[in-house]
Amino acid sequence: MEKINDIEKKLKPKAVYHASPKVKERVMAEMAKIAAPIGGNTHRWWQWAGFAASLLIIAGIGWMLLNKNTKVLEDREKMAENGSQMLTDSLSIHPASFPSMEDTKPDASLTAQVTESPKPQKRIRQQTVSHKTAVEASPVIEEELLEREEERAAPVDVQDGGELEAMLNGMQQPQSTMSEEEEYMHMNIKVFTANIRIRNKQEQKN
Amino acid sequence: MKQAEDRVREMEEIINLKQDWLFRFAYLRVGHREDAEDIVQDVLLKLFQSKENLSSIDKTEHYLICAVRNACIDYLRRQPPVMMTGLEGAAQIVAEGDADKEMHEEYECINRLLQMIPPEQAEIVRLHCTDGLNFRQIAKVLELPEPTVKSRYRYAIDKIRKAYGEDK
Repeated sequence: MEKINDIEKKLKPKAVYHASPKVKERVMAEMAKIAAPIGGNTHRWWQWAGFAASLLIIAGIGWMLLNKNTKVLEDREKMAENGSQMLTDSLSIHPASFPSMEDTKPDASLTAQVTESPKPQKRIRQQTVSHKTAVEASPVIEEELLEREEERAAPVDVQDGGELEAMLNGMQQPQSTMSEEEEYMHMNIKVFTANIRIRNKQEQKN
Repeated sequence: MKQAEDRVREMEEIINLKQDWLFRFAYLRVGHREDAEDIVQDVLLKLFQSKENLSSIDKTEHYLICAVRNACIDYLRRQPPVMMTGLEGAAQIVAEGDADKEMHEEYECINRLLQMIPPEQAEIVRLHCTDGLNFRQIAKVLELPEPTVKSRYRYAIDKIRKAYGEDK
């Protein structure tokens, strides 16, 4: 046991082991370098500058896109205004003479006839039920047809927007010298008046 | 930011407490001051970069022992086997300072004794006698059962005693 202790004593270091102070200095310097990006460098000025620059770029792109869209819309509006002006000039119609909503209302006599006349389904049923009743109703239809032909044959009043109506009825064709824009506006007006008519009829039915 | 500063402060405390002990641990395996210092420096930096909880002293100590030991093993593996003559060894000792001379003599003396036994037993003797670890700590570092460590130590001392007696 004593011998073991002797050997242990021999193996135990007696010298003083001192690491040079450079070790600590180097380790501390390296640690400072490593620790700096963990918290200190997150608020560097160039990071904020980069962030602001990217925000500005995004805002600029957004503004350009928005401006482009508004310009396109403005151009379209201008084209539409020019087109309508050209159309009115070509037709020599003053804007004040355009038909108002009251003028476009259908004739009261016609509406009365429409309301008085039996519904088509009923009429068909009557025809199928008895031949005699159908024969009796025929003079009324003939009168209606005659009235319509007279209306068509009557001279067109330009001030009441009759020309447009005549155009719709195929009585007067648009001039062949019209440009594409003018033709386009003509078509728009046709659709406009047709829509008004349809709306009026729907209102009357209601 | 505050966490980083706290970690640096904790590391400074560890360096002040353990630096010399770690240096001795490395020097008695490597035998060169500069290399031992480099090993200690690398290990301390690795500890700082790791996610080890520095406030737990036991865990930190275990980490440092294992890290320095592994670094020394790697260093010795990388070194080519050089047979130094007595004259060259003396010249190296003269080149170093007086303190280093004493350290180097001790290193050589311990190494001479431990060369008489197998390396796995020598490692246990080194950890117990020169580094001052108890058997439980050695078992933890070497990942061996404690009785195995104790028995290996006993065999190692017996062998050294016999060899030393024969030498005498």
